[in-house]
Amino acid sequence: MGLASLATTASPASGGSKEQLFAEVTANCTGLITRIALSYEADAVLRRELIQEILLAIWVALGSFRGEASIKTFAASIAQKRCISHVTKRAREPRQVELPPDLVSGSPPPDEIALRNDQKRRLVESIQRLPVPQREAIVLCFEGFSYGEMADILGITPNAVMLRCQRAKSSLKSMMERR
Amino acid sequence: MMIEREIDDFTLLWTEEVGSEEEQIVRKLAGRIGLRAQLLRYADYGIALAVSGGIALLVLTDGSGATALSALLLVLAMGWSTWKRQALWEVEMNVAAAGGEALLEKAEASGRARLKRTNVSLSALMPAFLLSLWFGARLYHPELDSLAELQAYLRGVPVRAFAGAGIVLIGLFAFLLRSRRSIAGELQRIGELRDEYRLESRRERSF
Repeated sequence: MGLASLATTASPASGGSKEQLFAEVTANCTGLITRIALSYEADAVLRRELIQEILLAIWVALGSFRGEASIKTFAASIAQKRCISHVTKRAREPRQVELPPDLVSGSPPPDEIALRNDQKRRLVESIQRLPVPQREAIVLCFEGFSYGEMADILGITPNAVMLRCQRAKSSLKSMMERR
Repeated sequence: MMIEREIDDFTLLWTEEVGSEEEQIVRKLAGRIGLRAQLLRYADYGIALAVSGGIALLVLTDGSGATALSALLLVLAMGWSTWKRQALWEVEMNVAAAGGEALLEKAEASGRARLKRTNVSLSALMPAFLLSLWFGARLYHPELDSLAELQAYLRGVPVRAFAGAGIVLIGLFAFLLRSRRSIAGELQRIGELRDEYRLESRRERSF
């Protein structure tokens, strides 16, 4: 099962015009899209281009969004596929990722912020090193999707999703421990 | 053994709020998407307009520089339109695919087709150039009947014209060779990704 089940023909059930739906994506899925792109592209400039491509693909696909799945599932599905397409073309090898300075709130003490930033950097790098099938599963898992939703997005069975997530978690944990 | 608390901590780290600076950038990008999508939608009208304009220019003018300019405009418009169509087609392919593996399968088929087209273009470039020389010369001088006559005629053509044609030919060769290398690289990456998916499927089946 794939996007065909998430989007077919336009209908009022989708809950608004293309512009309204796109505004909803912009309002609610910005973080999700940014993080999915981050898991595939380490270079900040190329990542921005990738995000733009994802947004364009979402805009094109919204015309056929029927509202059977949530807009978040719809956006994640398109983002994942667009990212795979990007990887086949020009994704660079994972490397040191520069995190924005305002990534973490200023409330904890500076050493704690530094530690948290370092953990986050290591996590991002480890995710970027996972095989793509495991990477797409673990990112959706971290984003809080259910196995059923992930199965719809990835076009595999919920059981296969669960197994991929388990393997990804295990690889991620060993990578994080090694680093 | 997997410690679930650690995994929960990973989840927390991963989903931590994206920085406001990054979010602003994405919102700005989103704001421009509507305009870009409209431009893509009107690409077909753009090419129709360019082709009509080119034809009108050809009809209104005769020969020489204006004709060459018009032909160049048509070629540029066609190239631009093909590029835009390819971009849209790729987006549609992404949207329609049933998952990563299906997407890669389609991308591989498309890549192989493009590689084939590029190879055909590369091998046809020189014969096409020679044929265009022959037909071009015959168009202006129908009395040219043999290769010897054509040779004699070409000897009278200014060296500058040959140099220009040579540069265009070399440019086309370089462009096609670069495309072929880029497509071959893309196909290799697709193959590697498909192997990763196959490995995962084998693991799932053996579980």
